Amino acid sequence: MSNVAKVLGPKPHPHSVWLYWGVFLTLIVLTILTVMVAQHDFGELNIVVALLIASFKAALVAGFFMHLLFDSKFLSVVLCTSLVLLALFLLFPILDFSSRADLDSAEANFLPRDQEVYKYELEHPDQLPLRPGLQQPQKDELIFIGPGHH
Amino acid sequence: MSAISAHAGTNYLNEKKGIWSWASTLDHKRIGVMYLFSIFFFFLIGGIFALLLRTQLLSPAGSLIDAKTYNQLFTLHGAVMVFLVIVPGIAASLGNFVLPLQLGAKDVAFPRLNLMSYYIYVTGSIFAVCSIIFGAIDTGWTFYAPYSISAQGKVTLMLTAIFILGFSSIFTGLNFITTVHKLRAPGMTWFRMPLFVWGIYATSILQVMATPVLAITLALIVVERTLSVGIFNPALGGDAVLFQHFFWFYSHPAVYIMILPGMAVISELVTTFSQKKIFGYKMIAYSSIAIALISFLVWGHHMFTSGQSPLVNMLFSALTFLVAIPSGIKIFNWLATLFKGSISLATPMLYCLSFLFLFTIGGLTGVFLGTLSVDIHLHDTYFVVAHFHYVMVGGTFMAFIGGVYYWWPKMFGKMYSEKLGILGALLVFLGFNMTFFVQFYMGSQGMPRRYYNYLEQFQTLHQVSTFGSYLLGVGFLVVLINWIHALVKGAPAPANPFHATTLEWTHTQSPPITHNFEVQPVVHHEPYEYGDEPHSIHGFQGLKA
Amino acid sequence: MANINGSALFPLADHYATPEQQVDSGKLGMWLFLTTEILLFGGLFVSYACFNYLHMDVFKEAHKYLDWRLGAVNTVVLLFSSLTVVLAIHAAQKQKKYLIVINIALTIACGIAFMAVKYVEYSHKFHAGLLPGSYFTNATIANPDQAHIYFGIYFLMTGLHGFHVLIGIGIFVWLLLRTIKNDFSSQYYAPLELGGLYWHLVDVIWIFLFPLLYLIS
Repeated sequence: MSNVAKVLGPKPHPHSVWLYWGVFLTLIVLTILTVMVAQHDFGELNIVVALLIASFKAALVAGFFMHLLFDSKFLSVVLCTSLVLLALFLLFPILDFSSRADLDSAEANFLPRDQEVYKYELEHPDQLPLRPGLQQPQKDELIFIGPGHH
Repeated sequence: MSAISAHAGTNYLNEKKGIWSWASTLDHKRIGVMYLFSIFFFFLIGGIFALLLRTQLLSPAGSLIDAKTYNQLFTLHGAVMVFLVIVPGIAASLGNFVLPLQLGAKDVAFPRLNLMSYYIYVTGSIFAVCSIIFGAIDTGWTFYAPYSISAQGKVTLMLTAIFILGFSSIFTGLNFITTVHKLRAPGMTWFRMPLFVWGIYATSILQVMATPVLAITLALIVVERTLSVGIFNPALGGDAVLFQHFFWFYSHPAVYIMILPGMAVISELVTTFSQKKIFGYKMIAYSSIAIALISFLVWGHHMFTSGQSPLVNMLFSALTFLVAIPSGIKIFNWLATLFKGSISLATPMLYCLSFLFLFTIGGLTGVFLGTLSVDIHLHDTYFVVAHFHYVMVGGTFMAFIGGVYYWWPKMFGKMYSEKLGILGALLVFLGFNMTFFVQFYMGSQGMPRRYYNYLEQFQTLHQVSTFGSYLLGVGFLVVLINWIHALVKGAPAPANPFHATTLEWTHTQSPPITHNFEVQPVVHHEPYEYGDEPHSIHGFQGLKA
Repeated sequence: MANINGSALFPLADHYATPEQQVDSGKLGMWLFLTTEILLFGGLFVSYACFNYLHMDVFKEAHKYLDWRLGAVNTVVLLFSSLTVVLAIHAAQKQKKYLIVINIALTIACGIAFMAVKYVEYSHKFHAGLLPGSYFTNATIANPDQAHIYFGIYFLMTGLHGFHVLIGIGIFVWLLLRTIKNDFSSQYYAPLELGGLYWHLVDVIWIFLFPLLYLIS
């Protein structure tokens, strides 16, 4: 398979150089816009605005410089798939962090009975929260110790 | 067949001889064979670790090995089996050999990259072996932060090894995707491709898209160990659950990298050994892609008890039910293929049937684990261990062995002993179930995983499991002996002993010539057209249903 | 014959039927590789996003220690180098070897300029003790206990990006040598396209890094 034959190549179809210069100048303008926009404070939307402009710039580079607009559609599918996956990868951890109540707070994560168990265990470390009348087991009978010991 | 003329015995194995001809080969068939040998070598190593673990567990307070050694052994068993055996697994070995042949191509799209992938694999495995020898780690194959940040041992070395191995996986996947898109034979439309190709294609999507996240995850751990940056270390302001998000974003798709090639093999086996057209070709093809895409949506089901928020827990649990659907579709299509087929219980078919039975159990128990409320109790117990061994060994590895038996005549031009094949299959099936079925029960009763000692009430079942593992080991030995014997003394194989219909059987000799096809095949119809009179498998000592 | 009328012919590999098939395969392979780079950097973007969410005040404070003007210069430099890359390919399509050489040389020069600016930025950080993890020694910043996370992420993202710039420079040096050796012509310039794709991705990543690291407040 390392054999190589010398043949006539495919006929190239070059674009106009002015197209490339046009895209480049647009990108410069957008860069200036990015900096100007950053001077204003849009609050929560700061990051959204910045990313929108950056995405548009990236789309110009991908579409014209990387030739995606003129190449096989499947290449765009490949790129979009990776972007969708990246979006997923961004989405879930942020969703996780933003929807965690304070994990130390018993109210947020436990049912009422468990809140009592939890309080008991905090106040009586090293003791199991047993029903009344039951005896605490000897320390050396235990293999599995209560929460907080791992 | 008229497409194959009688050659005086020149084939890809003997055309060029000597170590250098193999070391510098660009032939996908030779690269596939090299992968096959390497992978089975590491399977032996990982298997030995497992047998040591099981032997320690014969008694509840056993002291065959100390606790730290135990932790090292299960870490290495996992790391070797996952990264050196099952992830490259079927795709790198059988995929490399068979995929271009089934497509009617002369080679993969990038033969030099293919060879480089193999050398990257070898380099990664050398790093891994060095890490094992010079300071075996005990973090678990999952390298959870914060322990992996402070653990003793050659953590950085092992993580570097896996980082390197990841590139082998990426380049292989990249190569296969391009090959399927660009190098199909004239007339071979997408829906005329064999289902093995669809399965490998879906696997390759995952290899390309998921593995880079593993790379950055491992790199971040190394950076934390060396620079104390604090992304995952809570003591420095980091978040340990973030590590799990990173790790499982790759490692969940990774388990589909492991099973999809197994399913790909099963599609071939079930049709050939029923001599019947596959039922639901398009559904199986679409299911392969669906599994690949949905697999990116479910990674949090490994983290239900880690401190993930309840909202995200619920989302991931719901999504996990989705991913079971395409797998179920495949099982039913395969079963429907068997129905009223002319079934031949040859050795590859025995492994295929084992797969259907064992993977169903494994997949179903995966749904149990994906059920959030149930997983709270079963997480980190032997139930999980049993589940993933059912899918990875009962599923993928059965398919792997079945596939190697199936394509063996094509790869090496020799037949193996059917009697030894059947014996090995029975021992493996029995040993496997004995080892792992009891673990479902043990897990549901609370036996935790990765524990070196345990409560006395579990001893009997542990002993059953350990003896099962010895039986399984014997079974694998029988398989190995069968293969070695076949290599040395096997009867010459015909071009198409199993009367299959795909191009590698109908248009090449056994073994194929270096350029695969004497004449470029042109495809006129779908695969698996067995005609009205399906052949029964004459000419070798197969059992008939 | 190695060329026709002095221009290099297309080297068609044995397992391909037509040059178009080979060129298209190369492009598909390179795009698949680029998606792996996107996901690799993606992990760092996710880290950035998570820590920005968790420690927004640390980020706001720490980013002031980055000089946005240097970042802007680097952005313009890389955008210009992307232009010179496509101009080099255009020159190949028009069979103008001298123009290919000039444009590749400009691309390499831009890459070196980028790394030079990066060097200036990094040495400022080193002097100020604004380093990742256990090496963080700056005392004047507002939350020193957590600022090291920001700088950890900063160095990881810009460092990995800079590493890719270096590789890109290496690739273009190789392409320059091949151009001088008359390997390319209007019949065959696929390696230029593939190298170009890689370089454009490096540019695109910086297009995102610049606002996220230097400008968000």
